[in-house]
Amino acid sequence: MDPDERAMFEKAISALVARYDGQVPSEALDDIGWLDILAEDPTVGVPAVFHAQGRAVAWSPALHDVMGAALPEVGHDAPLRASSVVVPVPRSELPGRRSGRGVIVDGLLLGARPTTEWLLVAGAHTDGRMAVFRIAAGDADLIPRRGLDPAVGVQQVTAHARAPTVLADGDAARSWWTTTVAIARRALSHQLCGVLATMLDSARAHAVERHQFGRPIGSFQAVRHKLAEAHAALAGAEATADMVWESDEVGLASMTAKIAASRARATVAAHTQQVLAGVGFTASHPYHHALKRAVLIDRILGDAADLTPEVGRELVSRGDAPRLVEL
Amino acid sequence: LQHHLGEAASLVEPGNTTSLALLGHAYVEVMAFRARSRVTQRHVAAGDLRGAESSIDKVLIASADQAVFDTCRLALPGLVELEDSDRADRFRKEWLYSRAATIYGGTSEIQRDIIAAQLLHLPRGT
Repeated sequence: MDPDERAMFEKAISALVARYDGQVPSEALDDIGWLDILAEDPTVGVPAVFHAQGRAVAWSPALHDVMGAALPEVGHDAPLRASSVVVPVPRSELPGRRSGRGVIVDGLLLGARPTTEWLLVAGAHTDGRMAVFRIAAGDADLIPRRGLDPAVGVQQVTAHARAPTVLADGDAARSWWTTTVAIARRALSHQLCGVLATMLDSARAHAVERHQFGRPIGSFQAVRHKLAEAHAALAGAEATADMVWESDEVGLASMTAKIAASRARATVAAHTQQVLAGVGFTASHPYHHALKRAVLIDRILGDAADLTPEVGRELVSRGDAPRLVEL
Repeated sequence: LQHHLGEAASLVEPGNTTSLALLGHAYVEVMAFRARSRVTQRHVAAGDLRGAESSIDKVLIASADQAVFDTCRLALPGLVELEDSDRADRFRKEWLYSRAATIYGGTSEIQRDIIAAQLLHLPRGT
């Protein structure tokens, strides 16, 4: 995709997201060619879609599409839109585990997708080897989790399926799961950066408009430095999220992007909420939607606290700090 | 920075979770700086010089520099403070010098002033 086409797609997705109030349906994404771009040029399509929905504090089934993209590799040939990949609950690596001939599932679905017929579950056999299980959606209990940000439509998935299909085992299962988690982490990093940019815009506007002691509060150095720090942290996280698409070190690069976004989340949230002061705590200002969305996205598939030691372990096992990409 | 971090990674005990978290933290700081300088290099290559934007790079490199040598000091307990080997001398000098990363080339306060005024366009006081 050349730079002009890319700019056009980015414009189309931003306009599309703005037309819906928080939830963008699959059909609307398809109208601008999302699935084609996901298949042909994910390095352009995924950042554009996820950044735009972050910016607008919107959600869509795009994460299901991204996580389902590699399913044909494990021999699952049902339509993409009929299949949803179950995400692990926080601080847990896999949503499934073998129990006798069945599988016990404890995980999450992020965002409603009414067309789901199949649930795909990464899990472990009793001997620790990985497996990819497929169960019918009707065999699972899907419980809505309102939580901090009900607008996303999170569902908790619990099941004890007696006769799951085992789509893949061992290395094949691990390879699929690594690929799937890595692309989801990259997508969420872009989305989180988009939300943070919106939070920073809110705080910046407030710092210009709000006066104290006869001056805009944005003229006080205490405020200026907070927002400058937030801006630098976000710029670093955005650049990292963009860079990791060019890395062959898929797993390490994706963790790096998610940690950078998570750390920027901590800095941007703390400083923008402090600058917004009272209005940052009221429901009459839209800021709280963005704050809640950022915290939720941060939590999914590992935040900085979860992933930082993992990255350290990776470096120690290699005895080196890989470059990820050559400049 | 990458070289020193790699050396630290080769010396850390795999079972020391505190050190693993420190290493991971410094690594992400270095990668964020690399990612950012990659963006800047592309602008420069395209003849698109953006003076104030480089203040972001400066804030990030200072933070990466200090994170790496803090990690070397903390993840390799006693090396900087107590040991007399050549390696310890090297890490000691680097750690001490990294304290100046937020000072030389325009202090981090100056960089933040530039970002606030020229990138965020915050109003100046009267």
